[in-house]
Amino acid sequence: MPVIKNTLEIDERGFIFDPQTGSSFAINKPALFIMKELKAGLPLRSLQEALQKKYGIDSKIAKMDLADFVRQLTKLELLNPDKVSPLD
Amino acid sequence: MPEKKLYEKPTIVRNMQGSMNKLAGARQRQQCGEIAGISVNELVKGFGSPLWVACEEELRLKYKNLYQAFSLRYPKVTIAYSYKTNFLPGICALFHQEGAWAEVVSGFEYEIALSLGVPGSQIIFNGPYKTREELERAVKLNSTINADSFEELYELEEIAEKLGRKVKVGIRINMKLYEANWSRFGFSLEEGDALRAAHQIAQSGNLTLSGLHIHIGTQILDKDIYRRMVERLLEFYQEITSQYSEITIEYLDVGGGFASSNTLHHEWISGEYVCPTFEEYADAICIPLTSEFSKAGHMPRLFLEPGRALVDECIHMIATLVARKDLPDGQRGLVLNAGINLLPTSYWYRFDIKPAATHNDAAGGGIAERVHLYGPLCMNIDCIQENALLPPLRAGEHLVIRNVGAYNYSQSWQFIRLRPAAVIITGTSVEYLRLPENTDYIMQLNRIPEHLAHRSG
Repeated sequence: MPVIKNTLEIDERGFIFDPQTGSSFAINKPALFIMKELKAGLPLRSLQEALQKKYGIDSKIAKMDLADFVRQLTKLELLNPDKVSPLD
Repeated sequence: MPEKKLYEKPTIVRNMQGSMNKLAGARQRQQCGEIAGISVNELVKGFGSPLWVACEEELRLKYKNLYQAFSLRYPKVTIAYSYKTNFLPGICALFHQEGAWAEVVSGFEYEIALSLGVPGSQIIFNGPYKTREELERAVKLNSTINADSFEELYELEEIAEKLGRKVKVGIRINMKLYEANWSRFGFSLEEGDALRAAHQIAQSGNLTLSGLHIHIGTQILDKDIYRRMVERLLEFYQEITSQYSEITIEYLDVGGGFASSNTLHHEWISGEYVCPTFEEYADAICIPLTSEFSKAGHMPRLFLEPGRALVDECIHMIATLVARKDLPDGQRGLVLNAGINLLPTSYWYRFDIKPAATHNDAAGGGIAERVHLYGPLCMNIDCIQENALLPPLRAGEHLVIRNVGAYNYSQSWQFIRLRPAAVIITGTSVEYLRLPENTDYIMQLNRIPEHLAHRSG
């Protein structure tokens, strides 16, 4: 299960700050929703369902978008590297 | 039941510091869901993607505006549409309906004009290579011929002799006006070749010098270059008409080169802010002309040969995103189904590219992704645009690459994939300008020698 680095500052207005690297990021609202749920420890399968329900999107889009977003987080090194596992 | 939130693809972008442009990072929120009132989705549904889409009303308006700008400032103006810019017959026919002559630079283009019913006398034949047969036909059909070389003048002399009549000919002149070098076309003013050409024609018993032609380049953003060009052309006009009293210059052909609002790669400011208006070009060209000829008894006709300025902004391309790529250097790439073989002017232009679907601020919060837009060709140079700022897009979404009417269809090439259809929107109807290519069309000229026709083993 991907876990957000617990040192990340996540601002409600879509501003992310990584104090370990000094990097900052901008995210859109669906991304903010995902990051908050990941930080709260929601498993991916549940998160996909939550995303579908919140935005009324179909399961294929939710699955693809979520996988792509987690991939982005991984490459930006915003996930805890010890706890990332392949997506289902 | 709770209200569904507006959604767009979740995305995250790294904030960059030190941008030199105050507008950098600003998200272009406009989408282009319709072209001339027809939804992009409907167009794709009916005609496929990628797709060239022309807008008839805009094309006609461009022509009218250009003609008006010049004809209000100079009494004898003729526009000859530059076929090479986009020789889709439907586009050429539209301009002929508006009154345009044809400006062609090859026998192939000449034949398109004839096939559209353009009289030979309303065809201007330019270009550095005209075959003997092409020249002879143009002479017989009383076309305006602008000679590009001494060799061509000799050919024309022979043709005139063979036909037993005098042949009118114009000469293309080149001059150094700015950094771009167009000296390979026509006769150099500075080197004295333009005067030598005029002399050769004057000495010939078979030719008559009837016009002076110049074409100073393309996407000329500095209107002042035209003013300097006309002033020097008029100096040359004075020189030859005073030297050869028998010469009557019937026309001055100042070519084209007027810019469209597209943005060149090296420009910091968007092309729409730096592109001169038709009126500004007309002032630059017509003020010196009227000053020269208003008191003279003779006023030569002014020929214009626009292409880009007429068609570029009136034809767009719809393309579809087929894949996303995270590149090893942290950048992102989007693969489109339209490549540089369909959009060769991507080498020069930073296109105005907009998503077809609405990406709502309420969901996006203004986040733009910086992406490289690649085409579908298996070659590394197939990049439509680097560092485009677009909302987060997913495969299947359509994009509109705007203002691609000039030198894209006419320079497109068939490579790996078949070229798509072109359509024109007229009011609420959409009709083909060109059908999509199919394998039979591409293969029909091929032949397999008998000894290669059988597979071994």
